[in-house]
Amino acid sequence: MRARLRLLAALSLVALPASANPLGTYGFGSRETSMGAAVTADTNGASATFYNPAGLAMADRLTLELGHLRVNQRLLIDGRDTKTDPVKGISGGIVAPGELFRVPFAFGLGVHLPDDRLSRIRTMRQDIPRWELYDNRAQLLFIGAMLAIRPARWLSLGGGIAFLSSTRGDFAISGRAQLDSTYDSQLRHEVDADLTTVRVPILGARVELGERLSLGLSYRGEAKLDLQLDADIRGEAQKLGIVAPVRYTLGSRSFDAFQPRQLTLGASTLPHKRVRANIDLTYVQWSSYQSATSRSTSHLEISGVDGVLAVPPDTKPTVVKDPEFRDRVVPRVGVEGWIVDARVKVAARAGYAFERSPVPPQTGTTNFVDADRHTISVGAGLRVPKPSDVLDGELRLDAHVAWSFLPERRTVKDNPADFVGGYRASGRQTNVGFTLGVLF
Amino acid sequence: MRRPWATLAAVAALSVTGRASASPQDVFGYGPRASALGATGAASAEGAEAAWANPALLSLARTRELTLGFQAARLSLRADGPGMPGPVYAEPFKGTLVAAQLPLPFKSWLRDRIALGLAFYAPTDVLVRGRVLYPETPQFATLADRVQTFSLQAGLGVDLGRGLRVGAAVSALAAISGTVLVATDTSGAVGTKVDDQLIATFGRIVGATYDVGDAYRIGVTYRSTLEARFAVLITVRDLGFDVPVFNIAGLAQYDPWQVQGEVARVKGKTRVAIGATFKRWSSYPGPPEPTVICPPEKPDCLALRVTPPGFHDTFVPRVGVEREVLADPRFRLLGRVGYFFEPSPAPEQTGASNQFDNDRHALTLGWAVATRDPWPEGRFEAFFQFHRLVPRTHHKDAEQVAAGAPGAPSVETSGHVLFGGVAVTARF
Repeated sequence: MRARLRLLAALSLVALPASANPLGTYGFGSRETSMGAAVTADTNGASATFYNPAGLAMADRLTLELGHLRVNQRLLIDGRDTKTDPVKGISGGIVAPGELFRVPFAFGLGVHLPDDRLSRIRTMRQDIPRWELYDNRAQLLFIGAMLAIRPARWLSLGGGIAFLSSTRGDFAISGRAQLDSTYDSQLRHEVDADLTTVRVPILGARVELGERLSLGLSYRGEAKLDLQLDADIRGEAQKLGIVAPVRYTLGSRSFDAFQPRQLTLGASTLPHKRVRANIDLTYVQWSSYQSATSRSTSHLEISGVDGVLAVPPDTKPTVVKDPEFRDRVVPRVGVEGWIVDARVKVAARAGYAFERSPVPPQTGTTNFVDADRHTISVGAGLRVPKPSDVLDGELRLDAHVAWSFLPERRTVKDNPADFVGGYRASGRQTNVGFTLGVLF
Repeated sequence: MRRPWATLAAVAALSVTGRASASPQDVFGYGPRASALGATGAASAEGAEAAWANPALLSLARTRELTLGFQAARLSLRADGPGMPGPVYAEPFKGTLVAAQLPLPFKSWLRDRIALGLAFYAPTDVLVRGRVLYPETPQFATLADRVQTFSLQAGLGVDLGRGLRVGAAVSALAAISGTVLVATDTSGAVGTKVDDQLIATFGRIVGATYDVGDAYRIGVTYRSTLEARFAVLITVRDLGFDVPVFNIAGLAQYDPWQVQGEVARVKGKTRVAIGATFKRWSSYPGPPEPTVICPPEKPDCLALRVTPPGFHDTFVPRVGVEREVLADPRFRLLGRVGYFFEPSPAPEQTGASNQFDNDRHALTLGWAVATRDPWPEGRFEAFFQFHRLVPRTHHKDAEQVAAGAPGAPSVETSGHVLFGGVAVTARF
């Protein structure tokens, strides 16, 4: 059988540099991670580009940071490890403080680069069980560029943009397809595509209430990846001497790597001159969540081949169910204590966060697997002021370990004959990392 | 190249799809000063612009600077002849510049020796425009979409003393790699399964300069090939008959490796830079890749092969002059002018292919107001370029292009490019 095919495909694939997700889930910077990420009112390094850009204005020295984190995930369904990819990557950034029009000012750049890829888009059927929040959404790059000012001693304001992008365009294929010997097909293609810009705002404010108390407020916008595919295949099919025109149309649209809108209020206090205690409350608007399931349609036309070629009927269009995720409030707490020596300062830190699952009971055909998440973190920090003749600033080394526990959650289906059936989900995650900083 | 540790300095990256593209800084130069000075800079760059022009010159930085700017270009391109469209549409482009110069304030013997530079350009509408069109489609393959691309450089410059400086930078892009599977599921519904990754790709920039006395400097910059592919394999099943796997792949972005040399007068009221850039275009493989790939067990299958475009290497001469035209205790006014000639690397289009390109003469202009105390220290700069495409005639080979076919017997291509922008630099 021979066929001449013409494929006009409009594909919208996606590429996502930058979003809040891996950092929101696993933390940005070892100091911040070891304090349960309760730092909205208490961060001024590169991590401030994610947690609260207003904190950049509190920096008084040019700062360079570099670190690495690795998160091993053992996420189970019915006791079996789902082999969810680890999250690993380097994090860091630059904070450059100064004055502009005699007002304290700072520029900050924060980056998280996954080791294996900048981002990944993966869509699958909604009935396939998957850990929706910890699988593909964690494989993302973060790039944030922020500015901050301190118009009054008690007030800092900051904001900036994290960058996202998606690609949209047309793919066209034409030529002769040799259907009984496909590798002899003489086809060619053209592409007309754009990688479009998506900008996600991050805003923050910080208020100093005396020497021992500060409040922080930060906002991160919503983002998602748009994924589209439309194809129109036209040509001729030949079998047993019969030549017939062929047309095949295909449409697919989906979203991936959804990042919910978030608003965080934090407080930081110094109950003792060498002890700091922080608390954050984050409202996360998961109710806007859109599933990564593709919505697909297709139609095949071949005329004049009755009895010669079996033409499959139209497939049913995919109906994507609303995942009906629920908003949640995430509490976070962190403490830090310092031991100060004449030459070095050493810190010990601990934190805790509780994230209630936003995923409702999966009693129907969807299988978005999730469970509540408790995260306990510890860490240590070392500060070496004026480490050498050439550097009169400070060297910083911070390290963290965080354990997340996802207690077992049982799913029971309304339909006893459900194709997937009920299951148990549980898991744990181990997050280790370090951050090295130089203050000039 | 997927080396995350090497990428930290580069930070971002963006993606791809495109025709024989290259970065906008390769077409116009990067930054308000270099763009006004004939895209010179290997011996004369100042500020964060040096991250592209010559990272060694970042070590001249003594103060922190942040630059924000806007630039835009309008391309008027023509292909005239039988069956040709006349005007060839090329979308205008506009985008923002963000650059930062950050000297590292070491003390003692490292004082004023090392500095960082970050140089971004982001189009306002798209991050990357990429096209791989059928070769018979009239197009200006190496110009029209080259400017519609995000660019990023991050570099470090070191002053070694005795007039010698060295530096290195990373230029970043990204590529798409993935698969699309179209098939019906167990319920009979059609589904698409997409697994798509954005992968960083990097180019290296290294440079060195040497001060010859107080007033003169020589500089050389090497930039490695910077390229990014898109590669998406599309598999369609359940049609009722077999179709091949479609390899939708190509080269979206391509900067050839290049060496830029320059001599500059860098002291006094009048400063001059003269140099040239060698561009290794002959290594350019062309944008498309085969739609059907022969399997190892059948390497001589009849699938269409891609013909290399036959580009040749080029030399780009450049000159730039900057003069202080007005000096005041509070500010200085600088005038800038430059020129460069960019020969086309593309051969005459004698066959069915209509991937046009022309030699370009580029005249560049600009000015800067540099303010100082009691005003906030900084600069306000404007720059402008006019590129004239030298008219070129493509004589079609009668054996390849039938009489009466589009383009036969010849096509004349021409056009011009207007490019300009403004930038504000603040010291802080």
